Order: sequence, then C-alpha cells, then structure tokens
Amino acid sequence: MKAIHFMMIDYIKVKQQIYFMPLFVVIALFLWGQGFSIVVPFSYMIFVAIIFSTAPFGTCRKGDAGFLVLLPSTVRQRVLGRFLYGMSFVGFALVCSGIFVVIYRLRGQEIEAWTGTVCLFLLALCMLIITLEFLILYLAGEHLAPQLLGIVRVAPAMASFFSMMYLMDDMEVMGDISMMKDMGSGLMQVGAVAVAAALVLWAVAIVICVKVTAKRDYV
Amino acid sequence: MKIIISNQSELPIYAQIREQLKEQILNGRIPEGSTLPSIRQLAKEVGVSVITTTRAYNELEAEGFIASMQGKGSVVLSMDNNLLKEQSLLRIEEGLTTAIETARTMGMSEEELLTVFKNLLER
Amino acid sequence: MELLEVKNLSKHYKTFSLQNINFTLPKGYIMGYVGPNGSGKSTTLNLITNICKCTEGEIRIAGISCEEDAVTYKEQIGYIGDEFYFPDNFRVKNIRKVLQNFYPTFSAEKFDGFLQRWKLPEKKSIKDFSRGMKVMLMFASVLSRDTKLLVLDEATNGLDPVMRTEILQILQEYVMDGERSVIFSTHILSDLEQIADYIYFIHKGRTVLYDAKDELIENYLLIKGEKSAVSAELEKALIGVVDNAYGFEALLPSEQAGLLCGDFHYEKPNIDQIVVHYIKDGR
Repeated sequence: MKAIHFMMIDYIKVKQQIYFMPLFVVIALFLWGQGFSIVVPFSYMIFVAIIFSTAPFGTCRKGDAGFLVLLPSTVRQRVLGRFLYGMSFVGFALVCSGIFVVIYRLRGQEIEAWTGTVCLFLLALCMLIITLEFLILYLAGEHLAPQLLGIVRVAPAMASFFSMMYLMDDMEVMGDISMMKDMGSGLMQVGAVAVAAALVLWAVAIVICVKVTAKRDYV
Repeated sequence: MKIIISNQSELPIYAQIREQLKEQILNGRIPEGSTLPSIRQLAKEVGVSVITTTRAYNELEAEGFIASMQGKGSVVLSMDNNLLKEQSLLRIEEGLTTAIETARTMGMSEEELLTVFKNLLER
Repeated sequence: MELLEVKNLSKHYKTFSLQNINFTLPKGYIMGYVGPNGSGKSTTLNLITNICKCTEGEIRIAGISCEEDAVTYKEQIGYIGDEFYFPDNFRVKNIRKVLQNFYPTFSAEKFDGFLQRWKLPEKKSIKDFSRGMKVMLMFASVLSRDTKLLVLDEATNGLDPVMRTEILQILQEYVMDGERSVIFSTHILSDLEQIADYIYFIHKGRTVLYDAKDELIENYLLIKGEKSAVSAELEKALIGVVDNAYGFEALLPSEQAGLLCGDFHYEKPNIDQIVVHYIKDGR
C-alpha cells in the first residue's frame, strides 16, 4: 500500500509534465489519422511512456531526504513505488492503444495479425528500456540521477521511435509486410515470451535497485 | 510569584531562581502550603532549561523551603518548623559569638561574661 | 529513561570522518549539538535520522534501532532541516495528503490549526513561501503527529528574533510532558542556549565536550586581563588565549581559579565563548 502512496507522490512531483499527456494522445491520434497502421501510434505512445517513466528522477534533490526519505517505510516500498510509477505509463499506452483498436474495429476496418506481433515486440522493448534506465539511474544513485537523466531518458526513446518509423517505411516500401504476414502466428508467440521475459527482468531490477539503495547514503 | 532572570547577573540562573523563590517564601508572597509550578512548567514559562529549574528546586528542598510530594508537586513548607528555628538559631549564635569575641578582647573572664548573660536574662 | 542512545558512532568519508560519538539523551530533555561549520553536526544528525548509514556504531530511539524496525523508528522522528524539504511543486494539500497516507498518528485538524496559528496560506504555492513560513510549515507537519524525538538541523538559521522566540516556546512545550526530547544542531547558540539541558560540542568530527549545560558553564571562567600579569603556571592552564593590543581573553577551568593572582577580570562564559576558545586552542 505504501508503494502506491509513493507512486502517488511521484505523480504529484511531476504533475506539471503529466498535464501535457493529453497532447501526446492527440498527436498519436493524428499520426494514426495520417493513414499509418496501428503500429505507428502505438510506438508513439510507447515513446511517450519511456519519456515519462523516468521523470521523477529529475526532481530528486538533497533536500528530499528530510521528507520523502524520512517517510516511515522500507526502502523496498519506496523503490517499488517508483517502479510502479514507471510501469503505469506502459499501462497507459496499452489502454490508449486498446481504445484505438476498438475505434478501428467500430469503423469496420480490419487489423492485420502482424501488427499485433510488432506491437508485442515493441512492448517488450519498451519495458526493457525502462528497466535498464531505472537500473542505470538507481545504480548511479538518486542524488546523481537528475544530472544523468537528460541523457538517459531521451536517447533510447528517440532511438526506438525513429528506428520504428524507419522500419515501417522500409517494410512498406519493400513489401516485407507479406513476409511478416507469413511468419504470422509463430512470431506472435515469441513476442509474448519476450514481454514475459521483460516483466521478469523488471522484477529482478527492482530487487537489485532495492539492494543498492538500502546501502546508500541519501546525501 | 515573580521570577526575573538576568543574563548580566554574576549568579548562575539556577541560583537566581532559588534566591528569588526563597525571598518570596520568606516574605510571605508565596504563602506556605501553596504549590509551586512544576519544574517543567517553570522552565517553559521562564525560558530556561529543565535541568536548571530542577537544580533550583532541589536546593530549595535541601534547605527545607519546599517539599516535593508525589502527585502534588512542590509544596511550600510552613516556616514555623525546623527551618525558621534553624535560621533564628543561626542569628542567635552570631550575636553570641560577637559578644564572646568582644568580651575576650576586653580580657573578661568566663564567669564575668556568664553573670552579664544571666543578668540580662532576668531583666 | 534514555530516549536517544548513540554508541561508538563513526562515519568515514574520503575527506572527513566522524569519530566515536557517544551520548545519551534522556526523555524530556533538550540537547544542543554545537560546533563550527563542517565539524560533523549535520553528519551526526543525518545518521540519527538514517538518511545516511553509519560505518560503525549503533543508534537507538526509545530502544529501537532502524535496522530492527525502520517504520517505527522513522515514525518516532520529527525532522526539520536547514533546507526546505518539501518538493517544489507540492501544495499544502499535497503535504497534508502524504502525511495522512504515511503517518497513522497524523491529525489533519492539528495540522490545519497550526496553519491558521502561523497564518500559512493554503492556496499559495509553497515555493513562494518566505523562509519563515517554510520553517513554520515544516514545524506544522512535524507537530501534527506523534513523535518522540525532534531533530533540528540548523533550523533557526536566518529567522528573525520573533520567530526564534516562538520556536523556543515550541521546543519547550514539546518536552513539557517529560516523554519527548529534542536534539538541535547549530553553529551559533545565542538564544537557544538558555533552553538546552545538555551540550555536545564537536570539532573536526571529534568530541570536545559533552556535559549538562549548567555544569559546563560552571566548569569554566572567562578571564580577561593584561598578558604581562599571566604567570607561567596560569599560562599553561589557560585555554584558547585570544590576544589583542590591550589585553587578552581566555578560558580557565574553574578548579584552577586559585592560579588567578593579580588584576584579572573574570566572568561566567556562555557556551559560544567556550566553543570559540576551545577551537582557538585547537585541542
């Protein structure tokens, strides 16, 4: 329960940034309206999730120690709260995409199976990136995190988004889609495994970060 | 009851409190049988440390001005008991000592002095 | 009954180490933790609040160490630092909510009472609060729940005399029931000196003096006079001689007062003067 309370604190700490969230959803919808397949708005939402998930690290200050670190809780609850905060944006991306799909269906358009596979891989990739970012930031220490954050948060998100755009372009031009379609359901299962693996890694990262943080001085 | 702490005073703060309380007990401004504020209450009101007021009370107790009673706090003792006697005795001794010393410097014998003393008593 | 026990506490950094700090603070008393800047005051308090982990030693509050029960340990502490520690974009209502979520003994009524008493505006963004308002907000957040130990790290720095007086009263009220204690650090005691029961004086991470304040003050005399009148024996006994063109000032242990023959002025020192002369002495 206290982990949830810590998650709420993170939301309050970065609330000014969260206010921009609807704007990103609108952009995603716009991209989709441009005739791209569901993969594009989904990858965009994932990009947003990666950006937002590390935001609270930017607000760590020495002064926080007096309030947040002194809150009666264990280190595990505090770290878990931050991880939950990060993952909540992945959840948000999924929910948004779910809604997109429903709208798509309502309009009578069919969603091709291969897009689901791509989305699964993207999801796994996104979770992996967030996990790695959290690991880096926690290993560096919460007090160093604000300086590191600028590099850590933007690079992987940008990379994954633009490489996806590039890939999509490539595939559509070269007709690779048909290949993807053929591989179809087999890859779908691999994608699911990848997501599961990412979840496991996420859990392992939490354990590592708790261990590291417990031994560390906050100031 | 009134307590004024001076930082300019050469007396330490606990002694200032002790002396001021003593004076007010002796001149009756703090009546016998009344309860003094608790050590912590006084410390807070006067703005000094608890240890300081504790010491002032302890010394007043040792000198027989107050007694700390379980659950009642520090009660001002009546002055007709030991303390007042002791204080008077002290004054008597002082007076007699002066008399003896004067007699000695005059070379008066013990008998002569006793006679003077007896005569005075019979007067 | 001891409320705070600190045993053999050490903390080593690359350029500084805090060495072998030992003290106890009984229930219902106030301790002043004094020393010059960089002497290890904040380090000690950070170890007590468990913001930092000690290299060696043990700290217990009401018999509980942080390793045994971190939650209870932290619930017992009320901390006020020299820095304002609420996140910048928090509002008063956010603070109230977080306190409510985390502290079972938090009372929103008490909290609101303090807000009113100190005229802290609910609507205004807390980062626009004045220094005084920020300190009072920290006090409000700490006093509106049950704590056993108040830890103040240079909390009265930069406050006007009216505020400082108010804080003195708050601290004395806090220890009134004889169950709760206060430890505060400061590099300048001034008005705080009067309410401190115990003084712990550290310099360069080491203990210099630790005693009841009244004892400390009685144990020393502040001597002023002409340097030429100082005998060799007296010279040895003097602590931290500060010379000026027309005389000197130094500290002398009271038991050595017999060495004072000649024309000296002496008076009882305050804690700041004891600190200054000890540091000058370099012992």
